[in-house]
Amino acid sequence: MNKIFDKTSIVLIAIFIVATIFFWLSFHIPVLDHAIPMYKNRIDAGVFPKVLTGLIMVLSIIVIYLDYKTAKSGKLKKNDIVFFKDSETRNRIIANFVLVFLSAIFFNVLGAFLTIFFFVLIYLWIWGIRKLSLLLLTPLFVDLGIYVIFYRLLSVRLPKGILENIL
Amino acid sequence: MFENIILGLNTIVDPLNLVYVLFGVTIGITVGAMPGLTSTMGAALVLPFTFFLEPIPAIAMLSALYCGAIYGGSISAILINTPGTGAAAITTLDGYELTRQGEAGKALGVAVVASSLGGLFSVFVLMLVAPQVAKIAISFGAPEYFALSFFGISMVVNLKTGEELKNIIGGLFGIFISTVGIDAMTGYQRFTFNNTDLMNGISFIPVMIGLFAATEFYRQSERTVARSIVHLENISKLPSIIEFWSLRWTILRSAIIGTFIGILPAEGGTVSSFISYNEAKRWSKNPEKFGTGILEGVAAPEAANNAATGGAMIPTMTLGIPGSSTTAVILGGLMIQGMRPGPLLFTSQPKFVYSVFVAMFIANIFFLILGLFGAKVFAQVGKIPLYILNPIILVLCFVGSFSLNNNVADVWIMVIAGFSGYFMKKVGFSGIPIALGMILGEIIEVSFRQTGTLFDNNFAVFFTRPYSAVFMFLAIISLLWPIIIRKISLKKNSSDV
Repeated sequence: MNKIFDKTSIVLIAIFIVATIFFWLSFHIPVLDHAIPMYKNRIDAGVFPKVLTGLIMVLSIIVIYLDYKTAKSGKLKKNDIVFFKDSETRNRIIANFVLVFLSAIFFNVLGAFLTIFFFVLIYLWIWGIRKLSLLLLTPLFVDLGIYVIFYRLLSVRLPKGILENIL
Repeated sequence: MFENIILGLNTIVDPLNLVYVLFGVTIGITVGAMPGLTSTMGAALVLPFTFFLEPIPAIAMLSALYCGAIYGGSISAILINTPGTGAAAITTLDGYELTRQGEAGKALGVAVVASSLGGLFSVFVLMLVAPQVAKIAISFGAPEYFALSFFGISMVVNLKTGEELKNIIGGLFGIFISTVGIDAMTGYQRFTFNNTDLMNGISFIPVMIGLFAATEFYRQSERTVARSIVHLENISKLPSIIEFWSLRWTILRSAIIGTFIGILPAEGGTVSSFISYNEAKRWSKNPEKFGTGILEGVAAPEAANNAATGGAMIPTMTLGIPGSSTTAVILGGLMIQGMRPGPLLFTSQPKFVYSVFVAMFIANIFFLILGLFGAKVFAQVGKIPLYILNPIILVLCFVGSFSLNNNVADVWIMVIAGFSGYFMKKVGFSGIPIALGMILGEIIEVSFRQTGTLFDNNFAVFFTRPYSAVFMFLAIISLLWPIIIRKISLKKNSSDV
């Protein structure tokens, strides 16, 4: 495999970028006036975030460098580079990510029960289920279970969304 | 102590509390028996239900679930060669081999008895040791708490060999997440972006649900096999009394190893089961038979991983430092109930503490009964199709996160934690260091800064006070442990040559 970066490096580059952003933001946290006697020995609120993000940055670079050395020596296997074993798995996971993100967006708007219904239905569809009874009854029973346990028994005020006037 | 145990027993024998313990055990075995679903995930999913309970039934249920799930992992390990939990991974070696030889009942019988005895032993040690630890810990000041928490987080280094740096990054990342929100010592906002939802910090519970349950949803979605094949031949044929008796020393040795390893922060059932298996092999008269379907090979890891449950509760309850990832969730449950785990809990809430201990004791008896008579029923859960199970898991993640504060922001935190956790797990990161970092982050930062204020920023105090010096020394050893081990094995290899 003649790749320079394996999948670990890609994730660590993302972590490094996030750590760098927060390292920079740490310098914008207000500092105490240490001239005032009561603040003389106080450690500022920004110290810990600076140290933590700084350490994450340094360690990320070390891991990226070590992985780079492995990649250069040609010891990388296919499994070290690809995130998914085949394109079908990749597509299914991406579809699941999109589904979960959309569900989070619509949780308040459509309401919990409708979102759950469509989430389960679409998930089954992505899995390859085409049996109509399974496609309709499974989300219905999941919704019913959530309604009885959380909404009725535990009194969780789940968002009702467009079903506000019905439920 | 005995009066406190009686007090706890009186509380737990209340029929409703017993029902919660039984419910926790049943859910635990069910979750444990499902391949891929861990005890941590089970606890994270059940956690939202405990928001609506009193502290005793809430934590008793979670602790019972923990005991049940660790045992439950052996069912799928034995019957379908897939460990239900990581702690049962090594049980597959001899457990599944016994199933292939038509001795599934014997393997399951040994697993449940060894698990129960291991668990009971560790709860006994827990009751004996925890109050003594709490007595010592009551004199701890800021330097000791910093040193202790530092030792706790340093243990993550040794979670997975070869991934030490990633474990450290995970731990640091967890501590960093705990800094978000209004700083308790200055009142300044940190990384809140003026968002009111972030003022109180990032809630620990949705992160846990995301890291341990939502991540598993994605991982399970990768699988193409919809359901497992479960072997149920000879499932009711239990081992004879003589066979059980021959395992007594293996079980006792493994229970001691499991309890001790469980006490170490972040080290849970998985490590203890592997070490116990190796020790059982080393002490055995027939070490060559290990892996070919030998009852000792089932008894050793199962006694050890359940013994780790009681062991893991010792630092959790006495010091507020989780002994395993599942106890980290239990710790989250304690905090939600307004309890501050630590030595003071033993003096201020003895009824609560001992009720939880007794609940764990009873949970080990409950799963013994359920396992002996109902293993066949629990084995069926492996047959539930993944396409039904997976969406239910995620729906519970959504509803569970929301019910914490009735706030969609927590749902988003869960979604982001699940998404990040999935990719991080793909490259060898574990959720445990992040969770541990989040739990210990506040104690580490506050105690460090308090030490600075109290001792004029003279941090040498960490090494001059006896208890803190011991913990700092242990932390340094823990951080350097991978290097020490590497040096020793290199030396050994060169001397062999």
